[in-house]
Amino acid sequence: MNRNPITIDDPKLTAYALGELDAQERTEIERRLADDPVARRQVEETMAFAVRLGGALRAEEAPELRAEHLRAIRAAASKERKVIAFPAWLTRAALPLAAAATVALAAWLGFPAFRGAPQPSGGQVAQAKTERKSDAWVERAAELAEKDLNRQVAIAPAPPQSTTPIPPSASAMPSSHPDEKPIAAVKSRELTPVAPAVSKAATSVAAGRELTHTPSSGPQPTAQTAVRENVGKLVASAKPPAAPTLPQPGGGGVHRGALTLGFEPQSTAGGAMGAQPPQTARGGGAMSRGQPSAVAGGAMVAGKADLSSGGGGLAGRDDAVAAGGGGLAAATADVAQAGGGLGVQAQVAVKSFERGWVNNKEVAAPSRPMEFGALPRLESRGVPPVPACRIAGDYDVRIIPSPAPPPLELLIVGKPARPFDTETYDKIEDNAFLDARQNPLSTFSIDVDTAAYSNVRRFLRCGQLPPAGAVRIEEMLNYFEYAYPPAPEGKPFSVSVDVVDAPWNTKHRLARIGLKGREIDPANRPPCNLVFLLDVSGSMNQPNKLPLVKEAIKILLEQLAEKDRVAIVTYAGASGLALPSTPAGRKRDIREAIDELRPGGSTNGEAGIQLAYDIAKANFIAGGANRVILATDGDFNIGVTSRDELLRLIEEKAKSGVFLTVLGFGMGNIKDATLEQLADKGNGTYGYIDDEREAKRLFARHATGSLVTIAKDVKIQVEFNPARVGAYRLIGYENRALRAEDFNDDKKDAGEIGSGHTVTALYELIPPGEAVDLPKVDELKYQQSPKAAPAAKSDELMTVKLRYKRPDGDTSDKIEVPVTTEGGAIDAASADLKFSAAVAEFGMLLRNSPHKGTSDWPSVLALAAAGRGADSHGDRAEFIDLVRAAEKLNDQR
Amino acid sequence: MEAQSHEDWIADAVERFGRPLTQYAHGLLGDAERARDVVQDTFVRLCSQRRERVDSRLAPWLFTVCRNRAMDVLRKERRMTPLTESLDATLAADPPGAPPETPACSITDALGRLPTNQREVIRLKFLHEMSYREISRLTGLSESHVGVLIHNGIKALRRQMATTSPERSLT
Repeated sequence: MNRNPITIDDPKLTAYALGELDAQERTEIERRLADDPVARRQVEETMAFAVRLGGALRAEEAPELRAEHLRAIRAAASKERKVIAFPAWLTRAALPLAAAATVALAAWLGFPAFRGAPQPSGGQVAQAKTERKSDAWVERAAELAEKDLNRQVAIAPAPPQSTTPIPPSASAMPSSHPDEKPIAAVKSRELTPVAPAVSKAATSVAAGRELTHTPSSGPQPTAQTAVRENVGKLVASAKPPAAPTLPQPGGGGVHRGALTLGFEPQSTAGGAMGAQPPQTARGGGAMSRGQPSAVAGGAMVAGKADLSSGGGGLAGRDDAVAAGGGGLAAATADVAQAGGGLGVQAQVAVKSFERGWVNNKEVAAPSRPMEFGALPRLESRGVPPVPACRIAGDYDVRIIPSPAPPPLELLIVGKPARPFDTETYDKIEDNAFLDARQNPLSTFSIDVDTAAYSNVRRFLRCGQLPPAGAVRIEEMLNYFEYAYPPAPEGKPFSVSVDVVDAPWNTKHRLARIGLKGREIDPANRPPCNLVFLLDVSGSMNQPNKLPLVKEAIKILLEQLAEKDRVAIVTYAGASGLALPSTPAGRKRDIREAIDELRPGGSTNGEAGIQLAYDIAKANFIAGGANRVILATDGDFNIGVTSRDELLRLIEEKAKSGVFLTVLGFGMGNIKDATLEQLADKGNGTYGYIDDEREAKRLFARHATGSLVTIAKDVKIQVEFNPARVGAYRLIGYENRALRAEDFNDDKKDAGEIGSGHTVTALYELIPPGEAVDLPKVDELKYQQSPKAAPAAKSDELMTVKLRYKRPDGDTSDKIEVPVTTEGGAIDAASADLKFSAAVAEFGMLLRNSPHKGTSDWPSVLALAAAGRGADSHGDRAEFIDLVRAAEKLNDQR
Repeated sequence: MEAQSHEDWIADAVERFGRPLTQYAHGLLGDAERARDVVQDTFVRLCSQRRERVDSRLAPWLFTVCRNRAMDVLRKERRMTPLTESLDATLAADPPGAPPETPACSITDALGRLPTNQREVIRLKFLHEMSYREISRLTGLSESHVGVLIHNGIKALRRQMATTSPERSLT
């Protein structure tokens, strides 16, 4: 028995098990543990329990922010830049307010230790002083206020001196700037706690001189009233400020509405930090049992305009604010809110669908119905009823107080209150025309993804034009099947090239490169080893997500045979194996496992990916189709969360010979670019399933193509003959571009092609001599321009070269196809070619491409109608419907 | 790299912390709707912050503001319904270790029976993976107090789980 045993019930043991001890304590515990098996076991159990507990907690279902919340945040975020829309005087007047709120909050937050401290004194208040300036404008505003503030402080009653020293941590805090010039703080150290309310009021006052103009007597107004008065004040302060008056404890409270924004009860204490936290910090803080009031003091909340109040009211108010923009985030929020409460009319004019508040990302408008129910006090003027899933982008909001003392028109000119959603798209820049002499080589990776088309379709069906970043023309082209000749014997695919006049520019040509993957008879296809990796996180709990995923798997299941295997891995907080790899013949077992799937928890994509690939490898079928099929709405929240890390992980996994299919589901959350890149890095394809029909298209009609890869790392390089082609432009494939030298580099990853897949690439060509608006490069001084080789004199327009690897190969084969055709009129072209031209025009219109030429909706419709052909599955008819829908939406815009 | 715009910064913060914060607020408030509102408010406040001021301690900042907002909500409710015992009961710590009548059927179920303060630190530790020190900063409790709460919390959870857990038979 150990002479110095650790009590089993020792928190130190738990801390040790959780890795919370410092080195010294750890050594000590370890020494003791060495002699104490019971304690060791306790530690082990604690460790194991910690893992279990963490797993259980992560698997808990968590509420998610909804579109209205995101919109409100986004609205507040976009306000900052709108401050410039305000007249200078208004800005100036308002700044101290915001500054005070910001600073005090920031200051306080730096001092968590002080939370729970008693209310600061009225003088500390002044601490708002600490107007740390970090920005020029805050500083300037602070300077403006300084004079008045100092005056106020001067007349403030000198309170008894507090002797508490500032805790050392205070000065160490990042947000504390002891060397800063205090504005009003000055006196703060000498003040003692007064009533909390007073302190708050005083804080307000210190924050901005315009406040001092408000009547300081009279009944305590509500927060909203206070705000309104402040608004009035803002106007009033256009005039030279009147002599400031000292706020009375009670009256000063008037302004709390506007000022408490960032302040919590405790935060007031913290805000006072710069001044001095009274030493009697009461322990416990808010969490201290049974003593909520210890923290703080009811004072705080007194006049507070509670931003979080009334969930329903939020949307409306925030929309108003969004459009608003007064610079001071919170302050304006209050203004708007107050306005609403006062019967202010806000007129909302829905103006346009302006898109994109993020620089290099485009954020799609939410496709969920917008809760206009929350807007009863906003009078919408001249706005046609908004269709269910259609979201308007811009609002102009004017807030005009109805009983208006003083007369005031707060004109808030809005930047788009672009509803904030978490759908993200990478920005795509259209490929530019390139001079064929300077850039004779065009190199890119093939792409058989079709996600962009079904996603665009989802937008249009919801009555919304898609964001340009969601429109990848190559994926739209490749959504459709074209009647290219079958692959010649021994080759994985056929290559055909056609040239016609470009329908959107009669002086240009359109060259179409078509690939057709060898068709494998479904009966003779190699066996499949499939691992479904299903996102069952809470966000998938929508009819068009998990239930559709289940449906899709069942559809695919019908296509599978005895020889195939299926496993299901789920991921949400904790990843799990819902179905071990099971012969596809056991359809009932598999279906049961599918039916058992329930949404819940947050997403841990990383662990799920690991597990899915592990299972795929464990059941690897040599010569078969080994594939992980990831179905998600794209929300990876824990585990590997950064896009880059996730991509690296997938890239690593792809080396195992397991291919990947990424299926996007649902809306509002889709991380389009991430999913596309996952598929790209993971030797895979990316599809977006918006309905059961699409699931059938991918998993029934094209099951073999979706499952069996016939060639990988397929790259295309086109060499143009400058004698025949002046300039060229690849339509689409923007994010598939490769460097010329990558073409022959077998280490460079590229796209895969499945059984029966067709790949279509369009080039727009400008004949030599035709005027092209290209940036000119100076003639080289030390070199002569390359001389034309003899082949340039030939009829050859260009040479199309392809490189590909067998699905299990490491070295590439090459195919070269010289192209001599001069083309002809589009009218004489094949139906397929007309149709692909229609798709390209459609994409350019949706993207509002600078190269769209004479493209317009009627010409898209005419080309599509002429190119409709047999259309046995109705895909092209559906396309025509979408074009009509887009035309209509565009007209409304 | 070009400086990220304020809005991008906010959007990233929402993306990274939206769910953890909502989980946290949900744990504190026990109500999804109010949790969402509190988190929204937290981010709205972030919007008025200067990035360079908070970016280096963004997570603590967000959790702290979120916590305060949640506490506000709890306090407000308490004021408004002073006679309902539920909230008082929630805020007041039950005597730790009071054995439940029936065994808990899951860890989270068992967790729900812990006193609020234990529950909060346990969630912070095991869900949000904060260190004792971070929890201490956030909650204002001392580090050793946090250690005791977690220790007692784990003990209570294991005791509750022991009645139902298969682990029981293994140990």
